[in-house]
Amino acid sequence: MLIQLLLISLISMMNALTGWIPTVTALPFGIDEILVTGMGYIVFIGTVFPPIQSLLNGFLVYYGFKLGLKVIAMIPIIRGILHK
Amino acid sequence: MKAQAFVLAEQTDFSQYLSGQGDGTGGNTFNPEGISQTIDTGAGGTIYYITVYLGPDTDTTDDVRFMMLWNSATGCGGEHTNTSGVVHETWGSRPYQIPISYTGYYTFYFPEGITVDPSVSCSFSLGFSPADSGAGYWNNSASNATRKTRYFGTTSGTDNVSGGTMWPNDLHNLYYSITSTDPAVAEDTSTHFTELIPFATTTATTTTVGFEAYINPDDYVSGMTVHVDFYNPVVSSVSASVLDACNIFGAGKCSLDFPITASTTVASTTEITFNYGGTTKATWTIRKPSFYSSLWFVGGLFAPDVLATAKTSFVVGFQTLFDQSLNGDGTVVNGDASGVVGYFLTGGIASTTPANRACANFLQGSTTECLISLVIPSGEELSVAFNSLYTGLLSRFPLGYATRFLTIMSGNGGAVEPPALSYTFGSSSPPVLQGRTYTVQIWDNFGSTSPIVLARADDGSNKNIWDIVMPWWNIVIALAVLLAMLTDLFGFEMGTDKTQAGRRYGALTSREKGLANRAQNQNKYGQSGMGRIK
Repeated sequence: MLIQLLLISLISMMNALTGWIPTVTALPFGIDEILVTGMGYIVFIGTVFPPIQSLLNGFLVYYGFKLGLKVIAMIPIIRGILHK
Repeated sequence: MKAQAFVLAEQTDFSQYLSGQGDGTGGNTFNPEGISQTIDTGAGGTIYYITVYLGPDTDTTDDVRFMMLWNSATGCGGEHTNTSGVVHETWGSRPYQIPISYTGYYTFYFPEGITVDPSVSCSFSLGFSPADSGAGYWNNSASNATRKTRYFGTTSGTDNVSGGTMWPNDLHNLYYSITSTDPAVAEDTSTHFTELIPFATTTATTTTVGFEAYINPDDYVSGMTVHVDFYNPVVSSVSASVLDACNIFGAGKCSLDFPITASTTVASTTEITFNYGGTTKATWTIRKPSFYSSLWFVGGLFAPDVLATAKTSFVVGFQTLFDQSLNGDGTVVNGDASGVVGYFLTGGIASTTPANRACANFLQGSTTECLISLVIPSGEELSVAFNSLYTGLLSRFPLGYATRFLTIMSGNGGAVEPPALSYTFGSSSPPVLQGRTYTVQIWDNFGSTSPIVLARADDGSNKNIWDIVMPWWNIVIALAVLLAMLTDLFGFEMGTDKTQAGRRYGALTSREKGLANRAQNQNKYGQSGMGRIK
């Protein structure tokens, strides 16, 4: 309850301070439409053909793991251990 | 066995509402297990599916199938065209049948549609048949005693059962209706709630909570849930949970999840006890996992897709002080008069209640958990906070670009069917092909109405191909990902570590191998070490 109060207060303050900045609703240069359509295709294919969805999820999980490793390696202490 | 059939017609101009039922006597105009319905002249259109509802039955003879036949007359949908021209199918050659394994809705799909000419009077028959009697072979011959298939009503309506009685009693009336334009009976095929319990009423402290919903087969995926949030504004100030079965620290909230394991009509109930009386609000949502919800570690950040939402508010009946000091049978709580005293000491909360109500009752609850709930926000509270952050700061320029990118990548934009492959033959093509356009939509072969998905296992499980294959496929994917991760962490080569144990077998690290090769090449080809090219 206390942390939530602090969290909400902090977020509300940040939202209020940045309220004058324009909200981004779409990516520029037609990229938004391309990405939405492309992801729509993938979602559709994954929906009608579940093995594809599992395969894509597997890839994403794996690359999420790789990304996580890179992030962890950026921590100086861990990077030092790895380079010893 | 009681059943009800709805004809859901698309692109149709049926204007009449037809209804009726078997007469329950068997053997005459209507068999007790089947119906025969005429669609009069003037009604026509195309029917793509018919849903039949099988109600509760005290009879255990469930080894049966729904079957449907369509009139083979010209203009009644019973004909099809092949290379030889129009072929009129017989009644028996077009048996749409569905194995019956549970109570609920069954759907006959007609991907090609049944086209009914409004100028022709047509009829169809629908009924039950034993699954082990060559079902689908509509036998109208009394001489064939090996096939105990019933002949469901025509206007002649004779009962042509041979070789025994299929139904020992006459409880198998089939109720049905046909409509397409009457909004009073037109069925909503979108995913939606059809019933919430309790709904806008006063209920007991311990009561049944549940729902009934229709899940469109196109929306159904594994892992769907019906999620309900209960909220009692009165108790929110003490961070107490609304339900006794609550396992989160909620500010007056508590959530339940009902797994959805099938499409069409689903229902589930559970009995719960509300900890506090007064107005309680419930928000029901039908949730589908986000496309990326299974992502390792970060998958939980993607909110599920909400397909339908419904709200209700009801009043949990207050119990008087005296009521709460007594058990249901009138005896005092704890078996003695101390229960009454105990009420005053404990605030009426029994010793078995969750400790997360401790803040409302320091005398009996866990003070530790009360303090924890004061400091550590619940998952829902965090969700509200981060949602505010998402719609606020993270949506502003320039962070909004990254947020928008992640939103799109999360697949929440919805599905878009890829365009069909289409080609029109031009003047350079053979004359027979010139001007012809051929269109192929590959994914039509995998949709919910495709034969590959409609085919069901005949072992009684009613599983489709994905229900059977996907668990094994997911195991393959999971093992592959796991092996890839282990490879990244430890490598395929044993002993590549730099410890003495690794060197014991003469293994070298990849860097050491590279240095060794370079030194070898330098010895062979000079200082440059550039290999064999000179």
